[in-house]
Amino acid sequence: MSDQPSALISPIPLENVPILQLRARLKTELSDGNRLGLLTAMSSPNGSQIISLLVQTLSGGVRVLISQLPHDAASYASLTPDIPQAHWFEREINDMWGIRPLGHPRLKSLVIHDTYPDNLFPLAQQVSPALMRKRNNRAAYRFSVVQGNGVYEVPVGPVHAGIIEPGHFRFSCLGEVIENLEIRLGYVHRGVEERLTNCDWKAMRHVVEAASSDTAAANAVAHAQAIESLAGVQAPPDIQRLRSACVEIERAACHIGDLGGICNDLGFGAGSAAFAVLRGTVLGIAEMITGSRFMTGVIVPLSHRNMPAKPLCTAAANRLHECRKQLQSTIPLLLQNSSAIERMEGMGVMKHSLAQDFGLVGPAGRASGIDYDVRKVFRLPEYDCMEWQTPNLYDGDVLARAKVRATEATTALDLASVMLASVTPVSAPESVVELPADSAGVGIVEAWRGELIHLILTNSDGVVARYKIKDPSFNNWTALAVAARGNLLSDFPLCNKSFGLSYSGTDL
Amino acid sequence: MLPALLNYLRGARQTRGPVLPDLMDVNRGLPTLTSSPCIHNEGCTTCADGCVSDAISLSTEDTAMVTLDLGKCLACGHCTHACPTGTIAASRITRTAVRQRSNLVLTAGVTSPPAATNMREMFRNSLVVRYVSTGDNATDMEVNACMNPLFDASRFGIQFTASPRFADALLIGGPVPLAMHEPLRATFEAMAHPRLVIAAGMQAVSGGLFTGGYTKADGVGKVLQPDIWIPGNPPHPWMIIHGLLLAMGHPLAFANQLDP
Amino acid sequence: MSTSTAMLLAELAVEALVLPLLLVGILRTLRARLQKRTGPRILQPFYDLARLTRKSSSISLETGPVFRTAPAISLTAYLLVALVTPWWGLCAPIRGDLILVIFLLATARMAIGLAAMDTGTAFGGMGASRESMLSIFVEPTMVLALSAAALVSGNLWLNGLAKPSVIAGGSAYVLPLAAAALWLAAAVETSRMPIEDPVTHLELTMIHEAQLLEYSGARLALLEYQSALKLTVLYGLVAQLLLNELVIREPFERWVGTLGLILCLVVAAAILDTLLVRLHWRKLPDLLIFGLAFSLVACLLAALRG
Ligand code: SF4
Ligand code: SF4
Repeated sequence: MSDQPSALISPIPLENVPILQLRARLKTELSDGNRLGLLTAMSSPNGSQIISLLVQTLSGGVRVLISQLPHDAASYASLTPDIPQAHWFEREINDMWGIRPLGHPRLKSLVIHDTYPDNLFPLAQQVSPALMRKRNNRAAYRFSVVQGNGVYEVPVGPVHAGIIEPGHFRFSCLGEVIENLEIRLGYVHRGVEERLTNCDWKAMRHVVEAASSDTAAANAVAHAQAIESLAGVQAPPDIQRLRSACVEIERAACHIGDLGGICNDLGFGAGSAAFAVLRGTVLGIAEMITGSRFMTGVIVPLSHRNMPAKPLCTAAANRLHECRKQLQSTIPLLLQNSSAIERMEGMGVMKHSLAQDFGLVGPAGRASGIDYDVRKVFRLPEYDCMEWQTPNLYDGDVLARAKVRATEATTALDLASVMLASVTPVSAPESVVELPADSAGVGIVEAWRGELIHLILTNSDGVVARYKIKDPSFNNWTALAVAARGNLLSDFPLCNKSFGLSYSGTDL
Repeated sequence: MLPALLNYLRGARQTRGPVLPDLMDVNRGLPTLTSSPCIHNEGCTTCADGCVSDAISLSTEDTAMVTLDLGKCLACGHCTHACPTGTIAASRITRTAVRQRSNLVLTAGVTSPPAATNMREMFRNSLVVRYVSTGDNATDMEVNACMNPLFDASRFGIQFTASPRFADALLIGGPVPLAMHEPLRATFEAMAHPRLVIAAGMQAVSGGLFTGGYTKADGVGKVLQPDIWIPGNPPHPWMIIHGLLLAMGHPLAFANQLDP
Repeated sequence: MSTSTAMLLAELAVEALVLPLLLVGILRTLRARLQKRTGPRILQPFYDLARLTRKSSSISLETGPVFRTAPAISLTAYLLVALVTPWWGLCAPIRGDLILVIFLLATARMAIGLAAMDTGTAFGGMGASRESMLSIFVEPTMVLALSAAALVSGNLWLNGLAKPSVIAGGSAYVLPLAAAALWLAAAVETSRMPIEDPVTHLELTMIHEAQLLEYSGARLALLEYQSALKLTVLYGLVAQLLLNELVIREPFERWVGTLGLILCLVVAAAILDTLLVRLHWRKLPDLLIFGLAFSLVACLLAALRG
């Protein structure tokens, strides 16, 4: 075990890989214990570049591969046929840069909808008002058509009936059974990445917090890590511990909230009320140590705003401990409830092998037996107290996801309580950091939905040229579509809730 | 299961305490302007310098040196901490919803005229709300929390609904990016008259940090005309409930609120 | 019209207008209390209705006359059911037989189902198909349960239910069985747990509610009132069966007993709504078949006994 969090080791190694070799190279790398953390593009004076970020899941490190495309080349050979995880990434590259991945099996828009003007590639060009006024002749989005006798389509959304984010689900059904589900996102594409390359670095932290605002703390931590790794500096250990505590509190609150959501979708009013109350307690603790229920505005590079005093940390640690006890007596309402178990068992199954192909992350991945957890791979010292479970080869159904999330909520409360108890306030000046030229900075955090990556690349002037956020949901949406197949239409909401994905984190 | 259920059933009712209380002292709250004089005329620009969302504007005019737009405020707490004179201070009131956008813009010493009362008697005791999320999922969570046992908006006659046809008020969270303009308009069109529009959270009010971009995420006001504006990032459940009560014309909404 | 009939009608009117909404109010408040919430006021359904009647309607242009008239038709059907059955413990002012009641209930269902199809929305069609699938179980259950009761009371006029004098001694399990079956059918008809989650927002999971999603304003008010009336009338009929088992004859006692039993059923509904997990759609027949079996056995027993 290394005693340094490896993601923060700077500089992040950059390697140039010719675009023609990229596919073969990634293939070998991925069979070698690496994960495709993200795939994106970037503009450079000599033409566009394809950027791949690899996470070494065995040794805990990250590498960035840069593949230069020839000047004014607007396409390259798609990676998806060999590397299924690249599927959505390549659609995004097509949308944002207009670089076509040739041979992509299902190339359609991901986030740039038909409502945008023609030839708008937001990250490849400066978007001018004149361009925005241009006529719109974009081809309408085409949903896959499932043919067959008696197959009918149920379109749902983009505005959903519940209090959740917008997205369009197109179900092709045979009777009540879902034959195929196509998910169309992009409704909450707000231009986060464009904003991040065009704003003051002090404003960046607030933009990343809003990227998927239910994951504000994890995003802020990933941002802080990315800036720190770029600048080659580190925050004091006490601050890092406090940050991790915030991430754990966020994890607990969100998992508890979603367990309540699962109860709600089961029609189990008592359960949903009990979990909602608990979630309120956890948010109250978050408010206590950060001044905000969603822990916004305190986690910053190098420092921590309004560091809570020692007695406050101790009090919060104790309350977390209390809360854990309550959680433990509440979880059986759902997980030892035979009729609830009967409902969840065997529903929305995500097989292990498929989960691997799609590169599933987070609790959803672990419920399908994927043993990948950023906290485990990168070994931050404050997690030393945690006993890591061996791969939990569950069945990948709704029940498994509910179980994993219940367990993680409980351990998160434990961890946060231990971490907070050992935080001693330190003062760390939030000094302005110089960003080096032509370098990369990476932040990687196990957010409550799974692996969250922030990648910052600077240009030759030391200015942020590319800021890429990879939300955990990005990896998991395809899995939801696959898991829904063969289930009943009326079971879909439950299935969806068990994944609990972020729309805004994906759309950015 | 049974012990857990008995334990649950034995528990006390969770809806308690006063309605629309101030936030806890630990909460940062939203900034507000106090009567202590600003020293911008002596060259101080501390608050505006650190405000990343352009919520604060300073002018050298004696009467209105500092203007604070809560509709843009991220609640980051910078200004309330940094202001040397206490002109800007934290406020923890939750009665922050207003009926006119301009009432979210605070100017020291200036109180805006009361908004025209266009409240509808018919919603006084019953309001059905349709929520549309447009890209701020923390607000979604806080809207959800409004109906939980801790806040329980249902006791005021507020219900959330799945169908826009059932709804009296359209509650919107998030900055409304381009792809949501049409769906949002369509949802509004499906509602029966009379209908109200409520913008929840600074992103819905002004677009927040996303405003002015190619995605046209400039807040609800660019697509529909909100009747109620709720500041906050995200707005606290009490602030959302205050907005809803204000929309109903509920007497509880009309004491000590920001709106004159 | 004699004074007593007029009084009877007046009393029925008050009971049919006020009681249903009151019961729904009680049910919702109780449910909230079980969720540790304060919950809406008991009079909330009255406020809701008042608001709806003052709102305009917003109707999709795609819809035709079926959609527009369905709420009135289905409400009329239920009002007639309320007039011809002794659900409130006293004899109904109009004599109606079992077949008429079944016909009326089917009419109401059909009107709503057709209206849902008329909207042309995916959810409307889905709801209508789910509802008609359930009615395969519900309708025979109701027919058999009411027939069993009618057999015990000796004639097809449902008013016989309110005149326990014709019942000689106990009913040998007929009435409790019929009551249980009818109660189950009522649970389906009134969208109760564990069949349907009455508070869900998820269109994909809705059965009955999915058919109503396009209604607004006064028509929605009619439907809300109709569903409250449905709850009351069906619970009232269940109460009659139980009262007959207890051989309570005094009209006043019957009236009080009916109210008490209806209230008990509402309390039970609130508890089940909160504590039960909704059944899987595929498992619903397993539950509903019980209703069918109970009513069938009740019918057979009644026939043997007679
Ligand atoms: S609290 Fe609001 S007004 Fe003050 S600096 Fe932060 S964003 Fe600006
Ligand atoms: S409000 Fe405070 S910080 Fe801002 S200019 Fe005035 S004195 Fe300075």
